[in-house]
Amino acid sequence: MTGTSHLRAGLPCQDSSNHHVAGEVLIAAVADGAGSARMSDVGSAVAAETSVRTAERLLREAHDHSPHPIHGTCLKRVVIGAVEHTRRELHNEAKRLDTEVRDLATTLLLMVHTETVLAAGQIGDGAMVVSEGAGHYLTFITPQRGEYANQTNFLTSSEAMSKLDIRVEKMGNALSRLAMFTDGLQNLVLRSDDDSPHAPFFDPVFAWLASQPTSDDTNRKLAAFLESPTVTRRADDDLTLLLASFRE
Amino acid sequence: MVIPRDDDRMPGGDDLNLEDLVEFTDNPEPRCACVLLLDTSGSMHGPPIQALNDGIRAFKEELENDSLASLRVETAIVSFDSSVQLVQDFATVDALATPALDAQGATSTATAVNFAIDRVEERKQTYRDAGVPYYRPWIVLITDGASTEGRQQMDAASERVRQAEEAKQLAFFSVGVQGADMEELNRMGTRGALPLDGMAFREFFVWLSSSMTRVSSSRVDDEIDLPDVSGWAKL
Repeated sequence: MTGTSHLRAGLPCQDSSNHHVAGEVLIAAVADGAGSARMSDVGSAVAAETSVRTAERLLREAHDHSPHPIHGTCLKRVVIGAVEHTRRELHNEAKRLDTEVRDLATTLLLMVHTETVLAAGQIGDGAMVVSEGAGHYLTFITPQRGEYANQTNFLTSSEAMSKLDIRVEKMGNALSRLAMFTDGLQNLVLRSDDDSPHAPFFDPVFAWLASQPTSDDTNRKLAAFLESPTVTRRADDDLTLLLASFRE
Repeated sequence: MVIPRDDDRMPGGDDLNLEDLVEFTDNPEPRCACVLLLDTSGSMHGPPIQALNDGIRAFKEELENDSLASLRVETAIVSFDSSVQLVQDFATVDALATPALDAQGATSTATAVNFAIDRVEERKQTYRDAGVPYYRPWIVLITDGASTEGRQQMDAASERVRQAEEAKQLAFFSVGVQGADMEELNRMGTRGALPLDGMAFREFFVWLSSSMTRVSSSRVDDEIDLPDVSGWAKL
């Protein structure tokens, strides 16, 4: 959703997201283009699309090489490989567009879930919240912040790979709920002192999601929610919220 | 409001609006500190000081019109002439008293600049202690003259501004009213001073308000994309 400050500034929505679902596998990414970068809407779109596609390919290749279920170390390699490839692809895109890579500045949060293992990697802000079973939420990936409220790391910066936060966990109980979001929503749904999830936001959202029959209409309603004054009077940046619930 | 917990099914959920169901955190709003560092020396007497006072009122009005900026921008007002005075400590716009400044005395620019940097560093510490996120603070110097404190003191103050800018501790802007020593102002900081077009104080403060609104809303990285200055600057 285009944030109100961007509507005012006449800028396009600079957030992007992408996902891939196949059998037991979920791959998803959200990316937030830097407000000050000229073509960051392109940057975030390339980042979200390329990272999901690459993770899917690397995962498929890993499966082809081994008949065993994918383990944590392998999933970690998939995430790192996908982020690295995405970073190179942003440099290639900048050359194609005859521009500087910093004009495509974007964050990236990528997650891969297969069977019982969950892996995620992030450069920048935004966060990922998960729940095993109903009601108990955990911030699986926390936002990267600088000294200032509007400061973070970007996938396009030269030292980006050293800033990659990566986390891989074997989920003891089945993963039941997952939410990914860009920084626009972060201050509204994570407690600022310890980045813990605010359950009075996530509980009703997932209960609502479970009550929704079809996906197209759900996306439209979710978009209407993100554009509603309830949200926009607290946040004027672009907003992306990606929700997944898993069958038991 | 009763929110069902531990229950994935919400009876009649199809008819409910998400916005009526969710609750958000009560996190503190991130703050953006801004120091107005204002020359009230004798040469500002008359129309300039009146226009400056009007400009500050316009600044307050503009900030009040923006719901997020009114929560986030904290303004302090420091005047300097023969001495330096904290006229208004950091306050969000609802608590910002617009002063009636008058003009007399000399121009203690170097002392004033050091004072402003100290206040900004103190304020950041207050934010950190309280767990309040913050943006890079701004210091805005408006003067119509040259420092009466001597070259050595001005050079030391200018060097401090330059280092603070390079370390991204703050953003320093200087505006020269007619008669200002633009060379002296240009030695300060890294972005160069701009001359005010006549008495366009009001236009400047409207620009400053929309700049602060921009800084305190969407995320920016190193370079702040500021609004056009042609409404008030003599270019």
